[in-house]
Amino acid sequence: MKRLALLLCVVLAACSNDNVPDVSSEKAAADALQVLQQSSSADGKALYAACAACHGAKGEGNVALSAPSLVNQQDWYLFRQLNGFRSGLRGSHPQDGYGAQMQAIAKTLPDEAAVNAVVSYIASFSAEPAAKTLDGNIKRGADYYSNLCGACHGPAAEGNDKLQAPALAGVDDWYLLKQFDHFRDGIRGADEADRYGYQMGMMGKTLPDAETAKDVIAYIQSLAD
Amino acid sequence: MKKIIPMGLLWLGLLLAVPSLMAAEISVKDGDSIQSAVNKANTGDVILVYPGTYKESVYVDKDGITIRGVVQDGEWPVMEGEGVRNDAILYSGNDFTVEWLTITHYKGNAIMGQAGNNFVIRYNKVIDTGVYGIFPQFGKNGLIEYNVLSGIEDAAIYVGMCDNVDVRHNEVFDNVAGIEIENTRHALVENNYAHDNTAGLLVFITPGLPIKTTYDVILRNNFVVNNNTANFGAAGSIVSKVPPGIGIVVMAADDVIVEGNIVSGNKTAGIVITDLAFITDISSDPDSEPNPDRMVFLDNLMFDNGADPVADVKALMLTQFSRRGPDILANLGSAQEPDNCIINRERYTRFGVKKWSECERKDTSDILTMRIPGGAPNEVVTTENRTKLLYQGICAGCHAYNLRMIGPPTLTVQALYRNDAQGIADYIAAPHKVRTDYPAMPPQGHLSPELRREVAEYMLGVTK
Repeated sequence: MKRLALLLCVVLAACSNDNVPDVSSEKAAADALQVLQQSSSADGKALYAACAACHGAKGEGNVALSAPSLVNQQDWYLFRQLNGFRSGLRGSHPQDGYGAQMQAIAKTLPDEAAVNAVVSYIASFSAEPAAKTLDGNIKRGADYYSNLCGACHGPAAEGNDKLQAPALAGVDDWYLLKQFDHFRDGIRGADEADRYGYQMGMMGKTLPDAETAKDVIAYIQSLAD
Repeated sequence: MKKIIPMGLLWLGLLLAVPSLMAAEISVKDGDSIQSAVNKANTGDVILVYPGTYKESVYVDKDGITIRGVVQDGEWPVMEGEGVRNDAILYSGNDFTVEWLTITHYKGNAIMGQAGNNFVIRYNKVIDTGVYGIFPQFGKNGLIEYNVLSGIEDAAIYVGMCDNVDVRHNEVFDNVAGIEIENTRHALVENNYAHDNTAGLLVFITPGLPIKTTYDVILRNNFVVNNNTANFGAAGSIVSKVPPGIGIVVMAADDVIVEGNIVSGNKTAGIVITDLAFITDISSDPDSEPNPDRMVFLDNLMFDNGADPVADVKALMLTQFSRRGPDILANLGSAQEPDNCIINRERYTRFGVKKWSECERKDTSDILTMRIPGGAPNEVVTTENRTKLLYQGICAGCHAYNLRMIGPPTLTVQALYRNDAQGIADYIAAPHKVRTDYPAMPPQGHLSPELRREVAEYMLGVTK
């Protein structure tokens, strides 16, 4: 019954907006839920089997399922995000279909030990930059990046844990764009309790237009090469 | 009765003259502290600094102080930052004079003014002092003359958000920017020698600062020669985007007169007149008009500029079937408009001045100074305006609203500290380095906890 409720949750959330996970994404998420519900392990590798359905066996991501690669995301950041999904700080906005999927899955992780275990396992994968999928004006993007974004995310988009600003270089460009749009539009980071998300929500409103966001992300992607 | 009035006036005159009659000379010898002397000094006192090495930062927050080095047999007093101290001299008092010092190896500024009026900065040698050499900020009525500055990674002389300033007879070389007149009104830049910088003289607006305009500036009789040094500004900072090889830049500033300069050997262009987009796309400030208006270009000697322009300018010149940069490059943005004027244009290689009109004014011999006769009145500091003055005088030296100057943009600080003014107030008392590519912020612990809190709240409320 609990499982059914969770599935329903995923599907309902997913259908309520244009960020709608498609059938294969829904199936993968359902599989993940099933794996986690049947697992009582605190072993990272065993837990990751659920994640692999969408994020790939080596954390390489799957754009067809809108699942970003994980290998370029820092362990402290993954830890914070998984806990954000678990607590509902992330993935609760009605227009965040994929976030809702991820929230449902993350909530089946029983405790922080499990979160730690799965994050540690992901950290054991070898990092490889995600492939470029976007085009933009890199020079213009660099200008905006260095003036605004670099103050927290670092000169090479390498992240800054002192400011809790994650690395961006190497993360899928399509995912960065989607998340930036979510921050800008208040789909992510609109809850003041989400301290760091809210910071990015404020910054998401500082670029002049969507084209500039693409330029900036194209520049970030170029840093990963 | 007739006699009493003059006698009264005489007594009044004597009373008013008391501070100067009482003015003392305080000697500082090698091994002593200049700061201790400043702490003891009263308005009108002269602090004589004898040859020796002074390893300290000196704060002057009272009016009418003079710090005067004593040079003996070629030996100078040296302020030595040892690469660890931020500023050599910070002043916020009015009527401040500093002269005859050698200042070297500071990380931030050699001499920085924070809202003091009627300043005189002269006869100083400033060598390798980090970000700015001489930096009066938010002051009225100043004189900067006979200084020699080199090895500064931003501007050697940076006149920021000031009014009525003369900058003359200085030598600036091996810096990124030689002399900057930025968000400043009424400035005369005369008889300076700017050579071997990335760019020699720059008159412009930085958007996102509390003062939004730059106008009424004369660049006269300067040598602006061989400014081709590779840009060594901090990566990502706004100054790091200045292309090398430029003699003079006029960006978004209005009513600038250029006369009698010798401009040669600058490999990108002799002078660039442009709107704000030249340095960065992030140039929006609702209160800063981005175009250079009413430029007056009188007789100048220009030759051998543009021999090897940077790629962007080269690409631009290829559209004119030339591989060389010009003496005058004015085709950027709205700089081509006929509100700008020029005389004897045929003497120069030029691009973008076709529509410029003929100047009615032929010279500026009627203007001897931009300073205010009798000096500027002191700012009246009230509880209402003191935080604004603090922000303008101190914070805005490094933090612009939406672009990276020296510190992170105010926008990012607002995102990081929203609703947490106390967090800023605590941080600035004893800052620690959190960004690998930004210089460490200098501590502001000399401000009281209340003032720090007030200025933090002010910063969180800045909107442009």
